[in-house]
Amino acid sequence: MKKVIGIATMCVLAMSLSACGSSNDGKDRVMISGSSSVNVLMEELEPVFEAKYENIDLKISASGSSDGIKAAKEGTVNFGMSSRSLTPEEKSGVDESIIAMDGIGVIVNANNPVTDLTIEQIAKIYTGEVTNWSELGGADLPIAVVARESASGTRGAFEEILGIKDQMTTDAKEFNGTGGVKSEVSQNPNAIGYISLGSIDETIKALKVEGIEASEANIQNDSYAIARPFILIYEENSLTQSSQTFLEWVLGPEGQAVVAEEFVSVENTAE
Amino acid sequence: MQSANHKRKNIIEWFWKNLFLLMATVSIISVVTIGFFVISNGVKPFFGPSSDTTIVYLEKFKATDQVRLDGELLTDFKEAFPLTDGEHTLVYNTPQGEETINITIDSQNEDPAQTAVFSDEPESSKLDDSVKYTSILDIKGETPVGNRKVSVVVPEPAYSVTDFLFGSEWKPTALKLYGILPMILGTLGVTIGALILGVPIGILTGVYIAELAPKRVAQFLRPAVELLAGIPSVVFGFFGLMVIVPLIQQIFGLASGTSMLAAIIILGVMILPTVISMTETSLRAVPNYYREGSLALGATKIQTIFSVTIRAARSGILTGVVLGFGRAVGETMAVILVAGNSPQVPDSILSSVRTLTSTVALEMSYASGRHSEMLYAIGIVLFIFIVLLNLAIMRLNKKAGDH
Repeated sequence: MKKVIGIATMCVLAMSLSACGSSNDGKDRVMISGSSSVNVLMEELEPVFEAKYENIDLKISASGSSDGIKAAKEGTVNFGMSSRSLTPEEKSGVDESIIAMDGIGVIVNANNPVTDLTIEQIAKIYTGEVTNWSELGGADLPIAVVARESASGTRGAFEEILGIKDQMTTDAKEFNGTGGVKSEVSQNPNAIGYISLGSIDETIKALKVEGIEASEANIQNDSYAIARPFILIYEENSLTQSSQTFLEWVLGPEGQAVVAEEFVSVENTAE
Repeated sequence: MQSANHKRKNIIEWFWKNLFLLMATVSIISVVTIGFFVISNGVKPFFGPSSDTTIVYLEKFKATDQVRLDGELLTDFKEAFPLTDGEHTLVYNTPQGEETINITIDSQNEDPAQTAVFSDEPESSKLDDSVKYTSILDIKGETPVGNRKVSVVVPEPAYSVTDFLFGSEWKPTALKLYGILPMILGTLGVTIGALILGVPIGILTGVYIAELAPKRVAQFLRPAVELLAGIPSVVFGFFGLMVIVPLIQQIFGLASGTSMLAAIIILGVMILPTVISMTETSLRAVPNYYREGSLALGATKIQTIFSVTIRAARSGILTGVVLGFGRAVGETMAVILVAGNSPQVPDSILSSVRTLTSTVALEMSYASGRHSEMLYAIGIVLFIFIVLLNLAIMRLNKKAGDH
């Protein structure tokens, strides 16, 4: 008798659990997963989009660019998010749309007197040729090079623009995420790092690159050199109606207005 | 009545027996599944090329360009096309006339730069081979939506296990170098350092709580140690980053305080609860007449502790040390924050190091292809570390039990 009751309880539990998983109130779901950097933007887009299209439910998860690309290719999600450009292997069989541009700000400690570096100087710092701030017009202090982990979207874009792919000095400190880089730079007067433009605040100082300030306006007019795209990956032929609606909305004026709040909007170049 | 009771007992007996069996099966299955998953992914890079064929991928080409690859008209540019070794020609139409690009594939060539060679390419094009085994021909102009690109990706040949274990360069994205020696040394350095720092403190604290502390002090210390064990590791890491790291930087005048030393200090504190509670528990298990006998023979309290109680509890204390070792090897979050994570062979205790687990945690979410398989291979190395550790526990326990 006990056993029967036990099994019955288990069944009820299991059923209620699975019911939880599949309840969607009759809404049509759009699954999005991938880069954690793009996720920041997605979470700002989500409430605005869902307020307008009440019958569509966006499900967003941050699992890294590679995972998002893979999931979009296999069709387990409707959209993959990537903050790095795709390799040729990854590109085959999928479509991509740039939904925003993100500047990469070169940051130093707030007390560092240096305000402006050239692309060449930054490249030399990151390859280990320049190791003291006095060579750059600063105090006589060693430079602590702070970077993101290899294969991070931010690092990929940064090294590609500087032309130093995989040539970074091995002495550089690597952190996994904007937060780590930021806190190290904010408390270390010798440090130099790079983070997404949207994450820059008063605790650190963003450098001018080639005399041009890192700002949304300067990225939009292409004068600030270090920027990268935020990409949505999908299969055009198998897009659902809701996914199509979402994509058009993001690329349209309403979506781009949300993008422009913290990132750089893109001109709609869809053919 | 009695037989009904008997029957019920039998059912309960049967139920529990099978429940035990079921749970044991679940445990075994999970271990085997995880092991199989990690190993099957992790051995791939050492047994064959990263993919079956060379592929060419065309970007920003349109059907109206009349692209022909070896004479065959291409229409769908979403897919990559396989290429065999040898000469290939790519012909397409431009407003200025027909363009021809020759591609020579030699995927077995030892020099990665020679595996795919373009010839006859248009003058406006630029070859980008900064990523090994990938050659991208960037053809300027002509289309309104961006440059045309022809990318050829040659499979990476099987990677040698020796280069993997003893290579000192980890440059996985463009140079395709996967040497994990810096990480192995980093892991060993950080772990052994943490043991040297944490074990004496831990054992002495454990002895103090079990043998010497007044009851009130012990009542305060024990929950404090348990609390230490319950703090999430990322909190330790954050504390290290904000307090220990700047301190090390100031004391030693370094460019940055993130270093092996910072990781050692944090891990040394993190293994304390394990060592302390194992020491304390095993000392408590020593029968009181051991102590009484020793004291009756005229030994002092300290002499008794060192020559009787600790000896009797040796096996338990050693197990605590080995468990602490395991925790230090496996700890990731705290180490990522304070160690600096530079993939370099450490030359002093103040250099920035990277551990095996940090590498996996740092790069897994962004890695693709062979790079991600290499991270599984690191998982296998960690597996082997832990197996060796378990063998060590067994040996130690056996030895300690012999006396």
